[in-house]
Amino acid sequence: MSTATLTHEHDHDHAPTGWRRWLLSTNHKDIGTLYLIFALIMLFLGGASAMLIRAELFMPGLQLLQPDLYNNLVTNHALIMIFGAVMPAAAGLANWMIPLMIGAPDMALPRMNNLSFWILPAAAVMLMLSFVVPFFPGGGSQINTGWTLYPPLSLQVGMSMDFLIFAIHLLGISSVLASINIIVTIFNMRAPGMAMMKMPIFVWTWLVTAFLLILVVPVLAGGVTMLLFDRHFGTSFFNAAGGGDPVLFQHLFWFFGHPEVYILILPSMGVLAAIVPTFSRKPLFGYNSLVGAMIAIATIGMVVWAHHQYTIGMSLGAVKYFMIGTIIISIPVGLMIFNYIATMWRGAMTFETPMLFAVAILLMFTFGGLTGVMLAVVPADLQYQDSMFVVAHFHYVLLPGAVFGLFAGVFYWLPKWTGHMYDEKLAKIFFWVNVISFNVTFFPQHFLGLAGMPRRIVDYNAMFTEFNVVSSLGAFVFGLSHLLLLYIIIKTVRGGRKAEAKVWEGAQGLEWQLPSPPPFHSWTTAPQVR
Amino acid sequence: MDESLRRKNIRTAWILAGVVLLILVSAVPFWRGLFRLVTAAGGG
Repeated sequence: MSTATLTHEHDHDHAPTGWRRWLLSTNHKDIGTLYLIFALIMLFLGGASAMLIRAELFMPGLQLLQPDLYNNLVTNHALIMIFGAVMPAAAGLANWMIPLMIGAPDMALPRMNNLSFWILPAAAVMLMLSFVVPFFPGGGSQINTGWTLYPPLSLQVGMSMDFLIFAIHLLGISSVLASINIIVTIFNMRAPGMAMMKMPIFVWTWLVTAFLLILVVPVLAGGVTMLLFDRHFGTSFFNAAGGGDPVLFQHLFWFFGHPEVYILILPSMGVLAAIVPTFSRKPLFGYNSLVGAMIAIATIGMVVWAHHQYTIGMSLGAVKYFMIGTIIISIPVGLMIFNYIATMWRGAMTFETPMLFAVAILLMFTFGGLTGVMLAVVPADLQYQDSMFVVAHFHYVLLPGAVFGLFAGVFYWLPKWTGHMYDEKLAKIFFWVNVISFNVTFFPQHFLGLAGMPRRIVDYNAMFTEFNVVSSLGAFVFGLSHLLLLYIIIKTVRGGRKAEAKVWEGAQGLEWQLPSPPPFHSWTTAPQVR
Repeated sequence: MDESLRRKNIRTAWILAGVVLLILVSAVPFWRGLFRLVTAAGGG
């Protein structure tokens, strides 16, 4: 970790006012704030759809939703959470923290930064339209494909699928522009002395994530464009009637879809690399190996996509390759986890809310990883596939691995951003309610899946009722707990105990040398990193 | 931001944009070719 001598830092602190400040912003902090607000709104939209899904599954039989609407909600929930909530929230943290951490005055391409963000609301409108359009006369059928958009079903859905395809194009453009900006910032804008191997791990995780994004998003864009052509321009990429093959789409989708998991997780792992040493009051254990592990995860993660498709009937050689490759990923992931545990070992640990989240993440993400190894094994996966076990698995990976990491980051840096300490007591209540209700929601789904309950089905056999009741009750508490998060954030923004420059006693890094909140234009004179 | 750094940033961004475009336009033939190769080898 680097240290720096602080030169003059309090000038140029005149921010524009009114709507222009936000609409025309080129300031990395303001754009970071916009990303985070957008992500929070989408979190509540995606959460509302999840609660509707769990309300329907509370009891067997059809209570609230017709099957097509249920499947539409499942599709929308996934797309909103992945593209609308988690990715923008991680981009918000990146915008806020990367320039502060590397001693840069702003992002390398500030106007493009503005464009990257403002494409997002347009994409969100398109995404919501894809959900709403079928309710209007002539609007066609609901999107009942799930987020994977597999043909032939996606070739048969009405015009709402076209809205969705264009929403994905817009989201992809936004992600690629943001990624290019982040890479250029990290390569070209580091303060003197800030060598690559001195950068905070959070910056490293975003560098790897940004490269992953520019490598895989174009493939998804190509895939959905081919889908659009099949739907409207008479091509037959995926249409078996014209000589195409729907399985090709699955390969295209998962070549994007599997690295996407790491795109969601890696920034949160970077947040942990900041939090764990701070609250253990020890330097991060194994910096070099962590960087290597991340690069290994990204590299191997790009070549094991077909473990999502074992049941399509691949050759034995291909199946063996994808199985072994997938299991090998657990080595660098395990290395990361062990690094964080070794950092805690014999540290003077305290358990403020960010650290509570960090410890919970290590436990629950590891559990999600273990069920991932189960799913990687072909004979077992043939039994688990398309069951609620898979739903439980990826929620144990993505909620702790991505969402809780973002919550931890928000609590860790909120005093730096706002200049006020958050209410620690309320935050701890939020943590415990959130984590316990998360486990109540998703742990029983393992048993449901193992007992044979399929996923993406609106109704189920009465034998699955008990676990579904428990899961739904947990989900309602889990969903409502986020209102407390919203309250804590608003309360902190509005006031509270003044935060010092170095908010946390054990914190290291350039960002803690700036006042809280940092001036509108920070690092106008580059710090000297020693 | 001085002018030479600004130009360097824009140059790096264009190189990355080129990579993105290359992946985008090569995605269709690459994946169709790989898919045919795999299916011809007895896969599915």
